[in-house]
Amino acid sequence: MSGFVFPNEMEINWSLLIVLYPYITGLVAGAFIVSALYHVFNRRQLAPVGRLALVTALSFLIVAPMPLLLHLGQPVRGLEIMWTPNPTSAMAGFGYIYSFYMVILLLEIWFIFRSDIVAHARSSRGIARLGYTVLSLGAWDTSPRTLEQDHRLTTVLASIGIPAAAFLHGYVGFIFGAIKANPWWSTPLQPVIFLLSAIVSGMALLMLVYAVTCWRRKEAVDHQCLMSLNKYLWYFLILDVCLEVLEVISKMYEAEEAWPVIYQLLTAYLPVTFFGLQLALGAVVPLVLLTVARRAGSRSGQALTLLSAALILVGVFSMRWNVVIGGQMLSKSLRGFTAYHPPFLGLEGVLPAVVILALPFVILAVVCRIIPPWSQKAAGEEYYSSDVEVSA
Amino acid sequence: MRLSRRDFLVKGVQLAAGGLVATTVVGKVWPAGTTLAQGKEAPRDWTRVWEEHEWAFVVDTRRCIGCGRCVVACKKENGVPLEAEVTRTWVEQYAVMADGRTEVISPHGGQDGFAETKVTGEMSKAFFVPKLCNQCEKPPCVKVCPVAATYQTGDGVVLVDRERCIGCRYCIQACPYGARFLHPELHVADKCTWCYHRITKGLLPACVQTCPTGARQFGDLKAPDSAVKKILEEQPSNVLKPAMGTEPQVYYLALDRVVI
Amino acid sequence: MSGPHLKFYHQPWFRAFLLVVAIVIVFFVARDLATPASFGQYGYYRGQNVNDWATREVAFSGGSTTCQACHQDKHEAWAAGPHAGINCESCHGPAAAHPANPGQVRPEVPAGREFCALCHDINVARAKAVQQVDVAQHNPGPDCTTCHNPHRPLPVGMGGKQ
Repeated sequence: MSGFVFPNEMEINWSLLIVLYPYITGLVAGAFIVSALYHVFNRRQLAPVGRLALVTALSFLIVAPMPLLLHLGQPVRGLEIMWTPNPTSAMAGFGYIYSFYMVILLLEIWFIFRSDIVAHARSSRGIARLGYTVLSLGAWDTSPRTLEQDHRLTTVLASIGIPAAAFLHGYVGFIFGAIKANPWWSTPLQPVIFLLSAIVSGMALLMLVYAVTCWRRKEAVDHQCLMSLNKYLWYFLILDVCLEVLEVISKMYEAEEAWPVIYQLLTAYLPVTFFGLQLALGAVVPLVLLTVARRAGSRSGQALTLLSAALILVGVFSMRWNVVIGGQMLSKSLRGFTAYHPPFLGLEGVLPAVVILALPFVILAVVCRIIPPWSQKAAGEEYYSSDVEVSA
Repeated sequence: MRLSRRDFLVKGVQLAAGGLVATTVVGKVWPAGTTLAQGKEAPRDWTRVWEEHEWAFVVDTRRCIGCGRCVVACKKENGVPLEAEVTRTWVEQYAVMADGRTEVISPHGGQDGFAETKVTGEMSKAFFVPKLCNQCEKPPCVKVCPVAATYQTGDGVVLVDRERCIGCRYCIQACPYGARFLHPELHVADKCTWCYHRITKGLLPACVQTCPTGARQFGDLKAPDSAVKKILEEQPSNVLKPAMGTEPQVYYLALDRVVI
Repeated sequence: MSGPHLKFYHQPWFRAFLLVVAIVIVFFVARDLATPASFGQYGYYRGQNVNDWATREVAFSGGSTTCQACHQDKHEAWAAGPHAGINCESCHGPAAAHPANPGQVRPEVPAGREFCALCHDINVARAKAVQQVDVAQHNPGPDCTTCHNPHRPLPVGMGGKQ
């Protein structure tokens, strides 16, 4: 603590866990957008990650509410948000938007993986067979006609999913951007910045997940797919960075009452995480590396692309930190700063944060065991690789 | 974790049922559920009571002497631990130095006075400013509460339902004045209520009653011969952060421009 | 949507649809059960909570006149001196429970120089109307009440200590 902060500002109210929450939902939204590029916009080169993107989104979506629940003063009352949501609260939308998105995502995954599930059910026995039968909801028909119907529904669901994903993350930005009491948060750009950085981080995550699964399965990374992701990532990243910088520049130019403290916040309290990690290492360096990677050879190109993805993940995490923690360091007295050093242990410490961040990967590994997103055998393979146009 | 939609449904139902049981049963055991002294009086029809009142709070910064009795009284009246940093009301000491710098302090909310922190050095002026919830007519905290646990009564006081607050702390973020905090023992949002349990019984808020100099005044603008109404009609007054558009109902007399 | 090849209830979309309908029904039932009875009575909140707050017990009494009934002597001294108007409980703390149980519930009797210093120590931010002394320099050692009657604090020689 330095300068003067109000007595009720001695401690930061939204801790590390609330940094994780927008980070994780961002990863969901980004991964989903990649799957939509394939399933809705027919970007064929993204076929190797089309299904992986969906199960990745699901794994992270399952974990998304956990940091929120852990952080609540009264966790057992969490569901109140479903029973009596306050229509004027941005946060009240969480329960409904999340549930809606979860249903859409699960339905889409179900329709896409149904033929696989049925094939697994047919070929397995015992408990596994029972499990797959339950998963199939007893809908075992895999005739071309039914599959074609599944496919049409998938496209509809994915199309609904795009605005849902955008809304899920855009509104997280609104939660911060609409707080007039906080001069560092309050900007109409916040939802757009959150959405763009979400897409960026989700794409970067998916590239890394894809590369790791290829390595684990001893398969070559599909170069065309990775380079295509590289290009999309570059486009979204440049938009994202421009808006992030624009936000600070307009605050600086307008130089309102709070600008001197925001300036102090950026230069004295967040210089490493803002200029170093968010802008330099998390944006400028990846922008250059991604460009170089597209012109480099196959192996080095892939390595540079994946390195950029890793840097971007760090950069976006720093961005979440700078917004969530940075905004609370700055006192509403505009005369001081509250310090924040997350403890290692404890309900809101570093350890639970690491566990929460690792959990989606565990879930992903399990989901990939149950419904392997890469084995496009059975009926699905025929359908997706043969480009059959809908004939009915 | 095997996750089909059916499993998800089962989980959802369990969660929902669990949530119900939790909110009703555990909610009663959890400390927040047991602290309010329940209905000694018969329930009143509040809409009729509210019509008769329009409360207002006046702070005269020239009269405040920084003794901190208001902070202590508030904590004792309202069950906020004395040792906690958080507080429903506090006193700030301002010193505008000769070189133009403004030094502000509020050690422990001012509840132990300012003996250890006498202003020294060359200065042009110094004064105390008591702060509390402004009971805004347009309260941003009420707007953002996700579960409608905080609300504005018909006579203009913002309250928190301790049995429904989930402790998300969004209201704390939304308050421009730093008037809200998470109660360290109850784990729900807490704030000044203008001593709603006192003013509805015809008593003064504890801080007003214990202020030795009359720096804090409270009254009903709809009452005949209302003292606060007279003050507001006769003297220039101001509110904190008027540009926020929150329309505070705590009015300050002789509010210096350096006060934020 | 359904082709002639399969009965509609065998089709995947129908199975999925049923599940979604079930989820929605469960949600509405749960919401009905979970919404508090008095929610919406006065506005979009739990109306009973207004009573919860209004019926809380007070800690501080109604004011100095409450104390006068039993402490007439103190009241007279207080009313005649410069502390008149300052509420008894400003110094003595919350005492609403005292009259009903005077033996057990005993209000604070503040002692020590620090307590008087809260108001009377020199501080440039303090209104000049309040008598101020440099507490560290002013007769260091004995309690203020050795010389000053806290209920009627006048300078020594002007009837300060009785």
